[in-house]
Amino acid sequence: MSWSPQSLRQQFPILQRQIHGHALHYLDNAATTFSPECVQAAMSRYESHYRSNVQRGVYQLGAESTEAYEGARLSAATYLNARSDEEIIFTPGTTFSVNLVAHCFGQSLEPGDEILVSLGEHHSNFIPWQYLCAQRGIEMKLIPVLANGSLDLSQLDELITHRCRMVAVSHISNVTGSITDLDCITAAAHRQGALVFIDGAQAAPHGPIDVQTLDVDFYAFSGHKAYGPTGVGVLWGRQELLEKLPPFLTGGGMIERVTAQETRYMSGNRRFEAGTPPVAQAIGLGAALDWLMTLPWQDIRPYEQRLSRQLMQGLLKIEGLNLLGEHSLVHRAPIFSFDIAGCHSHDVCQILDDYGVALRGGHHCAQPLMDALGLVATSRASIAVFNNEDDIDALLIALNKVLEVLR
Amino acid sequence: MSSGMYVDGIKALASSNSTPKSLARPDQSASVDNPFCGDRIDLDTNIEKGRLTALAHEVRGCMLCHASANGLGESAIGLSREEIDFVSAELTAMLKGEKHNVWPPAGWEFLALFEPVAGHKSRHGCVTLPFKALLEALA
Repeated sequence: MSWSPQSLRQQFPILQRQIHGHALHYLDNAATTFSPECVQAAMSRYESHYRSNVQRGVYQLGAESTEAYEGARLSAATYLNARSDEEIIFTPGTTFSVNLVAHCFGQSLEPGDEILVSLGEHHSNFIPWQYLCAQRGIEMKLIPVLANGSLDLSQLDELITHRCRMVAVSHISNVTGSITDLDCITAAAHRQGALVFIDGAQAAPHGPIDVQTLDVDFYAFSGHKAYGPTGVGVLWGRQELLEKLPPFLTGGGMIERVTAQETRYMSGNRRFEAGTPPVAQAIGLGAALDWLMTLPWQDIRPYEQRLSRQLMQGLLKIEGLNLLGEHSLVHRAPIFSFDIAGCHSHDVCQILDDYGVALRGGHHCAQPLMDALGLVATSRASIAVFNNEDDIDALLIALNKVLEVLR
Repeated sequence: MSSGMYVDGIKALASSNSTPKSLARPDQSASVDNPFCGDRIDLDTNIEKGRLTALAHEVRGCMLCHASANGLGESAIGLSREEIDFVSAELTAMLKGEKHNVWPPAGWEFLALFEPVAGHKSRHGCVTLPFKALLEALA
């Protein structure tokens, strides 16, 4: 595929918007990114040509929607290099996926068992485990963080004991952008017989994932961060594990037979898709993943690194700015959180908006991490494939304007 | 646009140190969070005959929250919970663009500084959080 940043940008009509008289410089992609025209077209085609329920109808429209929905499942399986599309569950998003695994896997746990989570997790990969532990008398252990917010894995072998049943960590931190050393974690977890759940919400947008090479047991990500629609996500699980888990939600679409006395559930992934699924969203996500798989990542990754270097160098020149994560592009995704002494992130982001620059300010749903770092909130810039040098320049220029106002 | 939100009056109010951070022997305290942004205010009060005699607070929040808390600290002493509740309701009505009785309430002229915040719904909680905390402490 021939590729240039400009040709990519043309696929995102939303980038034509003007904000307060300025070009839009959208750098909140870690929260929600935009979807290219092909994703919108796929969803529009479903709505206007064959909108109908899946799995049941014998008529033409039903067959077409089922084919598109299952095609999206195959796209997700291919994107993750799953062994089979039967390992793919469509969910409403990563939060739901974590809750599903925590609840279903948690049924088998007993007091004295342990779950290991990191202090750096997004609340979505923290609270479901915390809740599970409180409900079932399980101990929740925490991987600490270094002063810059990256995970401190130096005590991993002590933290993962023979009572550990699950290690749940993010592939990439939504705050620091640090890429987790999953090799180290999976090896330590599997040595003790523990499973590994990965929150891949921030990793999936940055190119195809290989769950087999990662050697993890569950992997989840959301559509809206991966150029797809909101309201849909993917949970991948090893088929042999999915076969053993009890259902999460029950209802139509996940049964083999229902009698007045009892219900026999479908096996594997189908057991976890009760009710009418988010058909249009899943088809949109499938289109997004197909689109991502056409991108020349061998060219895009250096491009993202170039933008990251430009941004990091500019940020580090600002007096009083504390950039979280390692000040290096090694093991770092293009997510940059920073705190400016004397300037609260909400005030920073409010004024940046005046210049068309969209950044996220706040705790980023990572309050345990903020507490560990002694911070209340940070400003976060996160780069997507459609961002360019102008976006980075606009942010750095606007940040200087912010300082003139707030200092 | 944020123009008007960060005027000198707001900046001066936010940086004023007229209110202590804590009281030695508070009668009632409250700790309130803004769940949307993580801002937090810890607040101590002394009360005599149903009226506020001393107020202290520690804010972990934005400039608007600091300014609101400091203005509150300077204006609420001597008032009853009902009187503070009235001002809080007037402030909320102003921010929401709803009808209010007296604006700004007498003795609370600094609240006019927050009028530009009305157009920014996501920031209303920054201004009202200190009032929410004080009313909770006085409940």
